[in-house]
Amino acid sequence: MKTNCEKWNEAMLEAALSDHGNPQLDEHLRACSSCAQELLVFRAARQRMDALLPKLANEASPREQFSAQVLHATRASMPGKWRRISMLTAAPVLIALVLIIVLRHPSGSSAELAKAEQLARWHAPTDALLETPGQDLLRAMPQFGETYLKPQALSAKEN
Amino acid sequence: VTDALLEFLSVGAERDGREAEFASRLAENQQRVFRIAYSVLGNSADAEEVAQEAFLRAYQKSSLLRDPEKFRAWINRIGFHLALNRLRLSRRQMARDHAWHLTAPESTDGERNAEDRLMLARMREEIDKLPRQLRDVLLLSIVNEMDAADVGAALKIPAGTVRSRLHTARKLLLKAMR
Repeated sequence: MKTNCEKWNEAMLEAALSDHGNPQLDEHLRACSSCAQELLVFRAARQRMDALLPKLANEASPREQFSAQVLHATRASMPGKWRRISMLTAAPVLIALVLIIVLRHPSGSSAELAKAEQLARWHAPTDALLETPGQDLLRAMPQFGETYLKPQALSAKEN
Repeated sequence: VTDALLEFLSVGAERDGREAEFASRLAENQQRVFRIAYSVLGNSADAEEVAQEAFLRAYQKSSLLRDPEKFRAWINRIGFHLALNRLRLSRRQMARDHAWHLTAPESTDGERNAEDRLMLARMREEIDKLPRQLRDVLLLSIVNEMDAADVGAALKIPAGTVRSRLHTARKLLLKAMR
């Protein structure tokens, strides 16, 4: 291609790609055999490109087992699958456990109550040392007209 | 227990329905998604892995897809982006695959085929050099089942823009391949 023909490069590329006629280019090509040859080269390259380009994507296909493989993978990754299965099996197990606990400890709450009562009744061994003779007197409030000191009446035998 | 059983059975039935629907979509779209990945990666094993990953993600996120009619565009987009990510992560591996492409023995016309292989490898190199917007459109457009509307839906651009970019991409590629 001659140096002054470079301005036709873009038009020749367009012509090679679109196959649409360009009157100005056609006129130039009639006068310039070099550019006419160049256009033929472009068109051959375009044909080659069009034949090969689809191969970049379509020459291969997935294997036959592809869909089975994908379905298997989706099942394996299924969220909540095991949760649902465990929910179904865990419910009876949980009920059985509760029953076992209740049956083994029928008075679970009353046993705890008895322990609490026992604890309430407990006295330290040194409590006896703190007792005073007047304590019995102080335990009961005297009624009106009575005194803390209540002499007991002598029985007939003592008399 | 009864409630749990009923719930399990209903969830199971729902799951079976969902699986059947998914299997049908898989059959309908697998070839195209695989080829989208293959156009980017140029390697069957990688393309299969990417396509599988795409379907797996689509299955897990299917509840997010409000309009089931858009599944085709959705899965195309997922497959394409996963393939691009894989390509970025494994450039070195891809170089080896290209070498494999060049030396792969073929059946009938060996010489012609070897020449085609060389051309394909060169073409892939030239496509890689294209600006990203043009390259994405070109790679998706060469997949058999993809028209301008599909490519536009996958890339979220109008079909007119797809046609214009495709023309520019082909022109640049032709110039480079001449």
